[in-house]
Amino acid sequence: MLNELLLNFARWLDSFSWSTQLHESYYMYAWIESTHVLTLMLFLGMLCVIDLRMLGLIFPGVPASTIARRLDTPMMIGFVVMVITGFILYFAIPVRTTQSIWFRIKVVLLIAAGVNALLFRNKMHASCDTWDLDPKPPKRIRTGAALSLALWSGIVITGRTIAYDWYDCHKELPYFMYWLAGCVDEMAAYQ
Amino acid sequence: MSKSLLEKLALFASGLVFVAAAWFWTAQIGDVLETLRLAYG
Amino acid sequence: MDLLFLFEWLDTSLLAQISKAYGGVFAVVQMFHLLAMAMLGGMVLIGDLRLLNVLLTNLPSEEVINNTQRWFNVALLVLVISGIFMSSAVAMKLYYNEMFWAKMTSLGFGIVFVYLIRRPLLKFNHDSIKPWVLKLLAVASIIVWFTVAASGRWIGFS
Repeated sequence: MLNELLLNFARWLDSFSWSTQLHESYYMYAWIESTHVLTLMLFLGMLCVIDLRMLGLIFPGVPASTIARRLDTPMMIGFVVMVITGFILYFAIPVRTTQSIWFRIKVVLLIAAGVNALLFRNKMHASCDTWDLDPKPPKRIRTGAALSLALWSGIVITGRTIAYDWYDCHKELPYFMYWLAGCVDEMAAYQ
Repeated sequence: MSKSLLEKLALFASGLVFVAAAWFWTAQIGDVLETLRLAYG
Repeated sequence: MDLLFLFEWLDTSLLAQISKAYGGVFAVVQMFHLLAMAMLGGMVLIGDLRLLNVLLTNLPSEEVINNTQRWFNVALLVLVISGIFMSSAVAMKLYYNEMFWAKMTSLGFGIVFVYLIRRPLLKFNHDSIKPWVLKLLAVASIIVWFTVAASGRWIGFS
C-alpha cells in the first residue's frame, strides 16, 4: 500500500513538464548532479574531520567541542546544498528513483545518520567537560563517531549505486525484491 | 630551499594556476554556450 | 610525449582483466574513490580556509596545516590507487577523452604544487611568510583541487 502511495506520488511529480525538461536537459541535470557530488567535499569533508577528532585521530591538541562547533557551520552549508540538489535530482527522475532499492536504502541510512547525529550531539553536550581536552574521547563517543562515518559512507555508496540497473523493475527479480523496490506493476503481473 | 625562494615559487605557481584555470574554465563555458546555441538556435 | 603505449599496455594488463570482468568490483573501488575525494576536499578546504582566516581562526595555522596534511596524504594515495584501477577498465576510452587529460594535468600540477612548493613553504613559521603569498597559495590550491574534482566528474558525461 505504501508502495502504491509512493509510486502515485512519483508519477504525479513525473507529470510536470519541468521534471521531464530537467531529465532531458543538455546540461542542467549534469550540473546539479555534479554539484551534489562535489559538495560532498564540503559536507562530508567537514563531517570527516569532526568524526576523526571524536575518534582521536586528528587535532589531538584541540578540544573536541571546538572542532565540532567551528566546523558545524560550513558542514551545514554543505548539507543544505546536498539536500536541495538531492531533491531536484529526485524530482527530475521521480519514478525510477522511487523504485530504486538503493535509493530506499539511502533514505533509511539518512534517517539513521540523522538519529545518530542527534543522539551523539546530546551525548557530547552532556559529558564533554570530562573528556573534551583528551586526545582520545571515551569509547561511547568513539562508537558514535565510527557509526557516523559508516552510515555516511553507506549513504555515499548507495547514492552511487542508484545509477546501476542491476535491480531495476524491468529486470527479472524475485517477488520480495519487487516488493522491496516498490515495483507495483511487476508485483501485480508476477507469475 | 630558502623561504624567499619558496615564496617566489609559490607566487609564480599560484599565478600559473589562475591563468590556466581562467583559460580552462573560459573554454568550458564557451563550449557550453556553443552546444546550447547548436541545440536551441 | 605520446603515452598511447602506456594506455594500450594498461588496457590489456592483468589489472584491466579484473576491473573489466567484474562490474561490482569496479563499483566498489569507485566508492573508495568518492569517499577519499570527500576526505581530500575536507582537508584542502580546512587548510586553505584557515590560511584565508575564514575557518578555525582560534587555532594557529601551523597546527591546522600539520593536522590536515597527514589525512590529505592518505586520501590522495587512495584516490591514485583507485583511479589507476578504474582507468585500467576503460583505458583506451580515457586516452581519447579530453576531460581525462584536463584532470590528469591539474592533478599532476596539484601534486607538484603541494609537495614541492606549498608544503615546504608552510613548514616555516607562517607569521614570517608574506600574508598575501599565503592567501594566493590558499586560493590557488582550492582552484586546483576543485578543477581536478570537477573535470573528473565530467569525464563521466563526455
